[in-house]
Amino acid sequence: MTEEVFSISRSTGWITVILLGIIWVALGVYWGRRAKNAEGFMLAGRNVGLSLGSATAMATWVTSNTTMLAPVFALTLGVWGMLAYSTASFGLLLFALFVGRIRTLLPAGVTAGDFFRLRYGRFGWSLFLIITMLYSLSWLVSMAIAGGDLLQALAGIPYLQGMSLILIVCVLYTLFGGLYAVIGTDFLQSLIILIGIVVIGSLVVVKLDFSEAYEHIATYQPSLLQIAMPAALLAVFNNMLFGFGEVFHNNVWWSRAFAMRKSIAPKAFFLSGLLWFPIPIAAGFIALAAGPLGISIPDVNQTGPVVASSVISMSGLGAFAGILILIVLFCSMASSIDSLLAATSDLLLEDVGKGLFKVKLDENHFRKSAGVVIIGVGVLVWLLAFPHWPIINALFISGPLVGSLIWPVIAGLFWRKINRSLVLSGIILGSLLGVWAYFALGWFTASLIGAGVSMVFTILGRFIGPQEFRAAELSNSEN
Amino acid sequence: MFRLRVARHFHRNRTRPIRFSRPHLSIAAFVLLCFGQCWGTDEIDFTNRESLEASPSDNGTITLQWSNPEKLNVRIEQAPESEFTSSLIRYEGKGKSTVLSGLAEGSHFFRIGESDGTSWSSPLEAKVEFFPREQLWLLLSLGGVVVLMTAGAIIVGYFSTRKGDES
Repeated sequence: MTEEVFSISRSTGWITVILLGIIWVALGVYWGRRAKNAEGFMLAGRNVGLSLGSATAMATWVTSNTTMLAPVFALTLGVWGMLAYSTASFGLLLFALFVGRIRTLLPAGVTAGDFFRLRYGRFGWSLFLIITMLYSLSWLVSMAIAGGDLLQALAGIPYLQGMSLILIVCVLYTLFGGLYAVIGTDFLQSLIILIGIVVIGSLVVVKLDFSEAYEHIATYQPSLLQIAMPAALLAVFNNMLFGFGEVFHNNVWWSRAFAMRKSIAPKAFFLSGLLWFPIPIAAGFIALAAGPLGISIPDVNQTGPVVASSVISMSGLGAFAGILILIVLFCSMASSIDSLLAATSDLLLEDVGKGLFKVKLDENHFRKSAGVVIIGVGVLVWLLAFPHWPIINALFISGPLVGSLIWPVIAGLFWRKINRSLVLSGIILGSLLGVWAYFALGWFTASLIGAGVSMVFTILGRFIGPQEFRAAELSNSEN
Repeated sequence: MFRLRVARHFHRNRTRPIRFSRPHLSIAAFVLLCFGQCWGTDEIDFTNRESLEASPSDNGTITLQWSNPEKLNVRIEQAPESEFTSSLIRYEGKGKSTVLSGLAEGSHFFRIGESDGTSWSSPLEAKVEFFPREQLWLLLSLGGVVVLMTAGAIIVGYFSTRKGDES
């Protein structure tokens, strides 16, 4: 196997990213002018249609973790790994069944915190806030790290500079445009991501001799073809449940559910899930071709960009290769970082600021406070990304925590009675045992253990000492 | 031809002990020391040998790292035994690391050297130990049950509340 690493020059990398940054910030400022009040800034006026709605949901879910980690899954876990990553789309498909219920129960809801506060009381709400903040920050940090890695792999831009640049661009346009800017840029970014993945995938198909590829993998990477490969099989359930937990609890998705028109929201989420499903398979397939095409991968976290740029440069596209990969991956990162920045800032303002600390924000001071919070979150993410943790650890350590929220969300939405204490005990125990499993058994068991333990407690909570759930509590959420 | 002559020489003189004078021995020791030091500094070796040999991989993926400040063309070979009687070339290039995935369960030996194959590092033994099969089936069953019950609870909940939500 020979070394086949392609990269663009550092100056080309800088110019590409700065140009993209200027475009996104300019669009953010332009779209942000529509946000006349707090609801416009946080929920885009609750009037997002089908095309923008499905595009923003899909683009948000095509994160750096999809474009960077799906190839890692395929390279390390084979075909099962690719499928395992794709099962995260089931979270979007099932969330489509939640949306109507969410809008009925919380007609004036703003964040996912509203639901947890009214359904599980102050303690449950605090528990949710701790978990969602840990998760959101680890997601944001993992993407900032991926951004730095990407610019280093493709253009030789030092990690710290690349990571800082991507964060600054996303903070700026979220700051100016709020959810309007996030949804608008997501739409364009989702188109670029889809086109990029189709182009790269097609080039791999053209370059690859499938029978030779099979022989190569059978000789050099036999475990990737093994049906009963333990880590890969467990990754399927683990990733699926992790995806359920991520989507069901996080304010990124709840804010979109509140922002879309009620009639189209379920269709938009369902469509986004369908559109998202093949993306990790395409991204992973590229990585599986690395060995047969003789591409050496120096760092497992750089699998995606290294293989993609090598394949495009093999096809004679020269420096265009690196620029195309850079644009596609930059879009995939930006589309998630902006969404998370907006949703996390909303949570901090609404739930932590207004809810926990009783800070009163009028319309005049809202934008200024939102700006301070967005910048604050950006700085915190920068500080946490500075040590350059391995992506997969930063991501999966939060898996059991979000996994333990799956059943409390289902019960809170669809059941009439529940024993809150048992449900909350299940969240705590599921999180603790899941984190233990992460270290003791392997990352591929953590979300499964967290979700499983929480499920048992929630089901018990339906039969042992349940208290009546009053829908009116949730309907009056604005009070 | 040279080998043949040497063999004949040793064959003829095999009963006679070879004698070296003290100056000869000193010179030989000096030369050996010099060459030994040269080989010691130039020999390419894996830099993460200790961690790879200490902890087995649970998914058949390992990252081999080595120092290569002079950007030499290096080669890495893999074999099922430490003698490398039958080996596969796993890397050739001027880099400093490579990821190998899909390794089968068991022990794998790796060695690194310049691509001309004249000198090799000592073998590195990397072990692959998959998750225990008994626990695997238990966790897979648990996974199946949790996923099916989760999807079932959502679908039942959706249909039981849909009419009310629409009205």
